[in-house]
Amino acid sequence: MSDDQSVEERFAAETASVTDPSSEPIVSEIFTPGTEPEPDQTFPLESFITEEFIAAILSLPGAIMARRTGDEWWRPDDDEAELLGKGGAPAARYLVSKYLNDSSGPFAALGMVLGAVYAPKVMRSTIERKRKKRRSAEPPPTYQPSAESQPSSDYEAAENPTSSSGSAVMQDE
Amino acid sequence: MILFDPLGKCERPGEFDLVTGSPSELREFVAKNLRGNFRVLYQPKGGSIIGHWRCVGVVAYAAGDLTLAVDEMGFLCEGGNFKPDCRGDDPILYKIVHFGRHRNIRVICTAQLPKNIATNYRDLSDEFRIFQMVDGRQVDYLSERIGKETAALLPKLGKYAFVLWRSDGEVVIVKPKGSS
Repeated sequence: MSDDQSVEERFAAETASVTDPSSEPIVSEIFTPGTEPEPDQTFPLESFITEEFIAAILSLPGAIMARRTGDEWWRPDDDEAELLGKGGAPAARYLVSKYLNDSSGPFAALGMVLGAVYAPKVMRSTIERKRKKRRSAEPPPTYQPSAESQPSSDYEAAENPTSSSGSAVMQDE
Repeated sequence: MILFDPLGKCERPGEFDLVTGSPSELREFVAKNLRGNFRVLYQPKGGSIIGHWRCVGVVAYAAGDLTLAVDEMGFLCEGGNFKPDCRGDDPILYKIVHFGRHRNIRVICTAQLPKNIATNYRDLSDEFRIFQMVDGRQVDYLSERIGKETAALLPKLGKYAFVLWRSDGEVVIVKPKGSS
């Protein structure tokens, strides 16, 4: 029957491109050790992209910048350090493998390293400079004790710029 | 019938006319038996599973008039979507699910989690056999197809009991022999 014939012809035509995936060369076999491997072959994304990984990625800029909050320098606590340990290493490996394999490999790698080293410094110094500038531009707050409050003698209003009157910021020792 | 067994866990290979992990061998066998009945067990050996699946899917779609069974659908779908084809084409499973009916292709699959079944496949399925399930998100995903009343049965199922749901509205709780 012509229908049967067309089925066989169709089958032959549609399966002509079928090749054996196990015989196709694997990237890791093409590159000799020491050369650039395919990023996805070396570090499959699904193997380490987890909630912890994403959390670690999000916390990395904070860890690098060690931003200043209030009067204390921010430092990662135990939980954060653990997250950084879990996620930071594979993230770094992934980024390096991804960008080292780019056609602009050396330049991209150099840019990454320079960026990682200098960007936090530049940003921090910029922030500090702006903060100093702002502080110098603002007139020092004046201390006006209210009738209701009796602040202790060693309290100085200038130490706590969040209060304009000094009456509501007394902290427990 | 072609059974795609990515983990090689089929315990009855003797019941098949051909057990292979080679796309070219599968293609040759199916070409010779296009007009007859056959049972093929395909177990990938080496290479990527999605790559092997593409070959099996292409052969099955080209042959038509068969049943395609897929064990562990999680290799082919994820998060309610078809996984991308290894060559950048439309996923062959998408093609089979949507247009396989024109070639009389039926698809059966197993999945550990309902969300490992693409939404389109879930919505076009005529029958489910669902074992105990307590994860609310997974139950909700199924309830969009089988209804909330049927889905509410799932967390209460006993060991090895399952709900048989058919698109014509039939719902049966099947319990293993000897269980109360």
